Amino acid sequence: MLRPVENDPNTTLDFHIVEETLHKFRYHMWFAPPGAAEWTSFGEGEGEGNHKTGPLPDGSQTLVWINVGGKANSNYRIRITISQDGTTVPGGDSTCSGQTSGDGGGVCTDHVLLV
Amino acid sequence: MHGSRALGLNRLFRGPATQKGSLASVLVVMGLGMQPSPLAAQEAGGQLGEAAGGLEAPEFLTAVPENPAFVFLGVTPTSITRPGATRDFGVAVLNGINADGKLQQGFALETSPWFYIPGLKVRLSDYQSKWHLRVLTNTQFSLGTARVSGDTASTDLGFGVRLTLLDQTDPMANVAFTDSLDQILKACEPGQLPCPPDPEDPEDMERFARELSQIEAAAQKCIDKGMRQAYKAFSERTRSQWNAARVAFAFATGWRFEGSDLGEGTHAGLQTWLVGAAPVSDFGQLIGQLAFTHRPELGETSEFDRFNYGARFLTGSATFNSFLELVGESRSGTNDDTNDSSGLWSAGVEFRVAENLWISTGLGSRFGTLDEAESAFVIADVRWGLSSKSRLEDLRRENQ
Repeated sequence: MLRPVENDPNTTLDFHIVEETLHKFRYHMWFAPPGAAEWTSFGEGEGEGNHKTGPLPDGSQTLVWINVGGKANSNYRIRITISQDGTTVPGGDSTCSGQTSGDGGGVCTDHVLLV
Repeated sequence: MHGSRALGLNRLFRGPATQKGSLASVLVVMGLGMQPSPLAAQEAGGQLGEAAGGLEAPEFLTAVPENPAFVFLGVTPTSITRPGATRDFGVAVLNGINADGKLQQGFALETSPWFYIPGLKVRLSDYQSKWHLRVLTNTQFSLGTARVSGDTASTDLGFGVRLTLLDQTDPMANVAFTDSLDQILKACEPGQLPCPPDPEDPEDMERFARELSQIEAAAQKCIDKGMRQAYKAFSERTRSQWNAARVAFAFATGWRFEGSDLGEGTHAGLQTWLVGAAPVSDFGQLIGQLAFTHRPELGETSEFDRFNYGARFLTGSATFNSFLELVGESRSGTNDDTNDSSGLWSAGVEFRVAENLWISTGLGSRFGTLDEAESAFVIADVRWGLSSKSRLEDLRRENQ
């Protein structure tokens, strides 16, 4: 689901990933300027991390993909914060959460439209 | 006490048929007797309270109940709600109450309370290094309701908590295991994403959502496959730790609500369990259990207190296994003169004499049950049996 996040097109975007539950998280981040035909990777890692991208024009999209591993049928939660100039932008604080499968795996995505 | 299992043990120690049985069947019955018993189905109504009157064969617990509230109620819910956020938790609890303010029957909830503590984050690295965080995050609450047997309008409510104080077999506390997940999660990242959608075009947004969903499903399948392999590898790596230390405690209590009216609650007693296991060198394990049950007089159930205890020593190697077990039960505080105690002991040994050929034997006795004089007699005439596989291996496995 695409969610809007306020953006200053002249300022770098800072994506901050914080793990909040006892799972192994592996994430990958992409952005796409308006009208782009494909995504461009700007960060990946495991656990927690900070990744910068931009500045990006309004109408750009970002996608954070998170793979999750842990105990079966357990609730997982990871926080994604988008900030500019050290301040979380309106709409820029969200959590990716769900429940792992009976085997302990999970997938979570966060799709953002910069406005 | 659960019917089928108690019947098996009683027959084992009392019935002449068993004495004529093979040793293999004796050991099999012993093994089965140590498995958790199936509880009454939720739809059949709860069995809160124990069967009034008689004392049945005590049982040996190798673990405390995962959801003590459901054991307290005597039900096995067909579906359990596991809320993933504070709001979901509130909604789930409210779903247990109907529009008239009465309890809903058949409600079952299981949750980790730490998940709802605002601002509390527990990182995996902290979990692996700090005991108190492992205890906190492994604490489980369970809450359930069940129809009262013989009174469809009334409802029993059970609440339970389970604490894992020590578990050396926890994979998420094992750095090697969690490190191995990195490769799996990385390998299951999407190779290619669908083209970015045009946010102004609903059809294109729908196309993107559909394609992304397909890629997510493929990634989920990939991760699940990897997780199965990782857990299997962990199990094989830690097989030598079959006798690892574990300690867990559980508590449950409950109330009976006449007419399911929240204002008409009567306390229905409590249950506690404590089970611990400790390694004995590389070859053995000692398991101890304590359990206490208090039931007030309620409906058809007489008042009683029951104390269960047990200990099992288990040794194992590639060619030799043995166990010695003692379980006992004491009932007191009854108002129908059924105070009593009973106990069981049993033992077994087996040797591997050749590939796929085990020779084994076992025996046990019963003492001080009900009004009978204390007695001890050999079961199965201490006979020997042959088997193609280790029978005591199952006992070791159930302790893992």
